[in-house]
Amino acid sequence: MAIKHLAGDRLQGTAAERAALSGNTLGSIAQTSWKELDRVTLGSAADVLDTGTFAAKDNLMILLWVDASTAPYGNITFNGDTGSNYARRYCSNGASDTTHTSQSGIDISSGGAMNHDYFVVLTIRNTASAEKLVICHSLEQDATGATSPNRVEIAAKWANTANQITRVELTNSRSGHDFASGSEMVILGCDDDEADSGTNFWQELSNTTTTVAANNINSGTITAKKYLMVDCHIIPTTNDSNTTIICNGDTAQGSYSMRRSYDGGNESTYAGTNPIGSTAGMYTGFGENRTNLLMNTMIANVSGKEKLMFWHMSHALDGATNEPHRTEGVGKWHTTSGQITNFKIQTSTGSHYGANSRMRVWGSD
Amino acid sequence: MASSWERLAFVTQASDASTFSVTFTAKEHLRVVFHGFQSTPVEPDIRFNDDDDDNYAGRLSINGTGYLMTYDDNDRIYNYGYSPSGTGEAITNMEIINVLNEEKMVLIDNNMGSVGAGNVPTRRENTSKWANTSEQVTKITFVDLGSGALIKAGSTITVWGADDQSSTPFYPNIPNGTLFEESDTGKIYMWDGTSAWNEMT
Repeated sequence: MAIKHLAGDRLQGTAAERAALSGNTLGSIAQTSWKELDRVTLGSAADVLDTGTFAAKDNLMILLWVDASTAPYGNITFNGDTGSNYARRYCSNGASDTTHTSQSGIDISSGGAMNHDYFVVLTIRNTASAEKLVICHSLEQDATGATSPNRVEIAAKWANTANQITRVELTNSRSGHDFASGSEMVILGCDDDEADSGTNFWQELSNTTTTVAANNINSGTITAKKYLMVDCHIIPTTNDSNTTIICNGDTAQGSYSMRRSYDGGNESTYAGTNPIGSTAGMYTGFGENRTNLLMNTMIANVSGKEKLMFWHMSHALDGATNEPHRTEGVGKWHTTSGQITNFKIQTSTGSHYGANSRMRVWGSD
Repeated sequence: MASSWERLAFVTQASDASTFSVTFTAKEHLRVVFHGFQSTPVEPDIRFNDDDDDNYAGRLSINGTGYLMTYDDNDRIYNYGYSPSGTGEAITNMEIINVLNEEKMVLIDNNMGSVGAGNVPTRRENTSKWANTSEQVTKITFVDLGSGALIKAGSTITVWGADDQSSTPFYPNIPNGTLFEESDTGKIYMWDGTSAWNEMT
């Protein structure tokens, strides 16, 4: 059960739940977050990625990396339901939203065929008696090399109120345009009262806190993992704190391409270029005066492929009179060999990242 | 052992009410999922640590470029309390950087609407902050201050956190005198305001 909050500063729950609300000392991290429930990886080209049945969990996170070099369609369905039970709203590259109701699945594309590699993260609240609401962020490679990727945001649902999701399929309906070998879907999940057992999927790879002002914050050398999650909290010290991303020390602007929106507009692209400088890596899309910045980045770090990533940033001057700004970016490191083993956020000039800036990286294969 | 994410708290709304709260141990990185149910458009805005002063600011977009608003010196974060819609359920995904002596920056995604596959979801993106530099967030309250609608029973809040492994005991932020009724033992305990539950006899 869950702890119930009752009127008059009263709580109700089990003895174990009360004990968990007591002061304690951490000896180890509870294994109570997202765990791998299922994975399907194509060994050869096919029209379907089908997880088969997996254990139902209250919260799902789906990592989807698709080699869509033959331009297939991509439609997600749950529990084998191909009836008209889905609805979605999507935005491609900051354009006005497009809506679809009574669909036979959730189209995860930017509107039509998928172009080249595709990286998608879906989060789903998976309550049997409620509609399954989906929030999806994705990146479409569009082309290899110096071409800016596409950015897709989706809010969708499966209007089923009888079952939890226990199976996910990604289906291509375009003849002769299969998903290529290596395409993969990983299902992560955890119950609200997930037992402390097994192993959490996201394992910390690095944890950096700056002690003095510096021109960058970076992960140091991390173990190569196929999927990375990065939380970065930067305390800029001046108004000249543009941010750029540098992977494995590669500072050449020609190695990166990106797209970003700023405060929901101002969509702009940089393909093989960086407005900050030719040796500044990849522009994040943030280039103004701020004193506090949160940046969350998800990365598909697939060996042999360009490294795809998207990020969300909240940044503001101090004080409640200064509303935060929002930057949403997608980008790629063109390098196909190896994997990212060092992730760096760097300022354009000077030691403008203050002490106590933080970066924490989690990852998993 | 390397650090990871762990669940910090999970609560279920016991009965229809205008507020719904969760209390948890402080961590520097937080992820929160609020799953709200409503009969009429409710406005479950967000407050941290019971702070109802004008210490919040934010930027909200609804359906991409469809609508954008900003607010500052506000007494809450607008979750979907600004221009609420729909009679179905909604989810709020929150990411919070929760460093003690820094302002708390928040990223929010919403999906909400009316029931049925014939109704397309509404999508909201929200970047917000709590301009507090002396506390970590240890309590989140969803509160309806406008519509008079209620956050229905069965709504849930789940909180995950990540941090360094601590060698120092930490304690939840629970008011002194709070009672805990153990459903499986029938025992009742009272929180001493600092570090211990004492059984009531």
